[in-house]
Amino acid sequence: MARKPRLPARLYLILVVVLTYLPIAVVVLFSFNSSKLPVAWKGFTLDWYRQLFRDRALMQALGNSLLLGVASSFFAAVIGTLGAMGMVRVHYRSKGMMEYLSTLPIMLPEIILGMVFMAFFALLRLPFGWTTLILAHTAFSIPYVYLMVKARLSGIDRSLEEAARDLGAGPARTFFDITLPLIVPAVLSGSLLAFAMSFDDVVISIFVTGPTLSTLPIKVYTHLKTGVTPEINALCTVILGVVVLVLTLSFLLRTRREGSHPSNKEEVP
Amino acid sequence: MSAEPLLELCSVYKSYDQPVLRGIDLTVRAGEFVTLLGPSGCGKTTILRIIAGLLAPDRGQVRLGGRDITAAPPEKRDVNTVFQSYALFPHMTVAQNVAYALKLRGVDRRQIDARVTRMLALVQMTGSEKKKPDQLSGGQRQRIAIARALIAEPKVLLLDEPLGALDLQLRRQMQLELKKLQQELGTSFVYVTHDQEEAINMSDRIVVLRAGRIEQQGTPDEIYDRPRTGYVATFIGSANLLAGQCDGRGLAAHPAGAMVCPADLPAGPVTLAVRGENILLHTQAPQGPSLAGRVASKRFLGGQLRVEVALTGGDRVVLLRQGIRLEAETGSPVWLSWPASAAVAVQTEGEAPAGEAGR
Amino acid sequence: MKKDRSWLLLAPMYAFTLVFVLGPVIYMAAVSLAHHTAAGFTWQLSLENFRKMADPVYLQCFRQSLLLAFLTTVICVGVGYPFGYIMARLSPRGKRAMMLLIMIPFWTSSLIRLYGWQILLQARGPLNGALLALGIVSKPVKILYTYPAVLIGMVYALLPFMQLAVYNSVEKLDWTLVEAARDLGAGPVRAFLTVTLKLTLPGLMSGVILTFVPSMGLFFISDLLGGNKIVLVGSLIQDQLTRGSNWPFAAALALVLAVITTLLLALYRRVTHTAELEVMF
Repeated sequence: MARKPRLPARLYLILVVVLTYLPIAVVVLFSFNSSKLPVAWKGFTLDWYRQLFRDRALMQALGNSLLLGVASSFFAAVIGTLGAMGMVRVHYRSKGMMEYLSTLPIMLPEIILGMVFMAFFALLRLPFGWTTLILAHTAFSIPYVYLMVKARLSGIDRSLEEAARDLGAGPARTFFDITLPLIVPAVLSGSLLAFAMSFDDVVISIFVTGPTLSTLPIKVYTHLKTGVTPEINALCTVILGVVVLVLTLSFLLRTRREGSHPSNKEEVP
Repeated sequence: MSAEPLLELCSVYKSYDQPVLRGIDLTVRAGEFVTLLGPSGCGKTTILRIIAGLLAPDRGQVRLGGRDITAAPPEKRDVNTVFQSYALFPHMTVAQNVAYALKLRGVDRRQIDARVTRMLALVQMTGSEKKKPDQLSGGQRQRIAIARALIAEPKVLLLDEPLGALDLQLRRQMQLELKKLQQELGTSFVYVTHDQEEAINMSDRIVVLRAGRIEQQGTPDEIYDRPRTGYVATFIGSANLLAGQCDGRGLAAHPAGAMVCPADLPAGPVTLAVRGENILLHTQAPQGPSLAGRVASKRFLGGQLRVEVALTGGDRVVLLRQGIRLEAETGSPVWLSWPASAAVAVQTEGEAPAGEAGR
Repeated sequence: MKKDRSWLLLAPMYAFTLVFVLGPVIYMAAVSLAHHTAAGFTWQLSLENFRKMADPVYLQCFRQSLLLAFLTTVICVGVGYPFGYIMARLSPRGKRAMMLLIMIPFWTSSLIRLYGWQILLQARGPLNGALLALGIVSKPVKILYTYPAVLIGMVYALLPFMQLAVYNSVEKLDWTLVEAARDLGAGPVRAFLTVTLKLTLPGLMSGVILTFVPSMGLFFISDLLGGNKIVLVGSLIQDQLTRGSNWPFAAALALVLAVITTLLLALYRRVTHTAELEVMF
């Protein structure tokens, strides 16, 4: 086996990680800073958080983002899981092309996606607002669930389902007793990932949202461009907290439930 | 064992890009232990899957207890399988795995518990109820797989090379246990393997397969003592194939001398199969028919002495002896003979079948 | 045995993809051929948009974007490869911990992180404060709103792709091959160059492409960290759409960008011999 990395190598890892967390730490730190300007430390305060929660518009945007995230990741979960199951079993020749198309949203630069969705929705005369937001978010969320479930499915021994059939379970029963429990971690992981991506999305949301509907990242972005208020630090810290929570959950889910059947392809929590 | 066939395959054909099964006719009787024996690719696993219902034949019928089940899905067949990879459900405990078939059939809780306990005792895995498959060793998993497949008391149990992943010691032990289990339960077993040792030790009947066809079937004795083709003769045990010209009176001519052969063989070209352990070695030309040659090598292999003799004319013959001593030196001239009962006429490629016809 | 039902499973995904992915893409391609007017655009097929792109101003923009993408990728390789390599050799617990540590910033809103860099790099920010305090400089250094700032932002956003790609590849490496090379007489460096590097090259390549491709479209990084001085294709597109309302031109730009991206991705699949994107996961 490979030799365990020596101290200098480990230090390098730590260094990079520290650098990575530096800007985040800065934001979190200053959210508790009683000075208005993020220049020097003046004292601990929770004022900005209080101000944040009183800011109606921001809270509204937060609620929108959460709802949007849940809705789009749910639809993505259903469509993506069904799709992954279909793809693994079936051998149409159009399979490759369809898979390519389905995963296109995560491969194209967001600016293009945003533009393209906007143009298309306008063509279809869809109302710009919740409808278009959910559609667009679902579209770019599907690949995450699809790829995760597909990876998990192909790692499952086919003979497990055959054994269930052999012992007397019909196709539906086999799915619920055997297949589903085994892919649930992947579905959940993928959904959580999709949620995180949706929650974070700025570019596409800007393009497809309606005039009155705002998501949290959009609000943050506009604030950053027009003028920074200290509330933003608090807001960012809150968002950070949510993402950390969601990710840690996803991570725990994956390492706990499939301790016995890790698939080589799964490296990401 | 009743005479009524329990399981029948009639003219079963199956192809993928190439033909895999070319007309299989097979019967299994109640309480019988039948082994499908052959190298990889001969179609034995395909036959198993067709019986289980996991694969549909292109042509032909599968009948169980007289009923045609060719179109029935696997869950409706009273046949269960022990998979090569065991296929234990990783997210269920041992008890849940074993109980699964009963749960599907709506058996009540207490009955399930009782039968699971009994089954686990039968395979000597009592106490493992709460464990998960990944906590078990290969041999243990295998026993659970067997328990799981037997608990619903199927008419036929199919086993797909179940001992393949086990080490030699464990394999030998499991062979005995499986045979015992089968006799105790009286369930028919259809066992697939490429290992001749397993086949001989466990089977009531061996079906030797080759390239999608049944080459020969019979009891282990029949297969061993009276192989009908060169393939069967050399697949089980080691056999020497010698081509000669039979004179119709129990003697066949060979470049290295003369060979004793079955008396009822008609005159004409013949291939004889003689097993290494039946050949007698003489340091001087004996009275009766014999073949002349020189000792080419002797090696102690697998507990026996393996002597290779180069006959005049080029053929090589392998003798098997107990002990490690040979009365002749390497390179010295020797003569080989054998009792009449030891020679069997076999069919090789392209020849007309010799010996008794019928199954 | 199961052929009948499976198409049902695929139907939702096929339908959704055809309508909401393929549809928009085709529409966009069509729009790029349209004619821009003050009121919007008319369906007069013309290649004027593509011709317009040949204008030196826009070509310069493409060049800038490509250069930035290239530089970003190079730095990501330099920082990310060693990282992925070392990480793959940690204990299983170490690997998992490190994985979580990498993913958190990655999935944290990119805006937050960029904002953090804004704070750090500004003239009166902590970085300058530290430099002044340590006596390394006598005046605050202007880092924010310069090219290096944008570069830092890009590398920062895309590094995890490289780290993960390299990690995945190195993790699957058969170390006995390296040992065999050492056993045959190769020194550590030689063994690395001839065995490890060669075998993890596909991972490296996928990291390169996963870094290069998005970097061409990230416009808000240059927006926030570069001010208006640095114009990239992404911002150009956004500009055209919002200020100029020139959809056809924006569509044409987007199309070209999409084509470049697709070509690079095709290259990725070739190089890594993977038809699947699961390596990303």
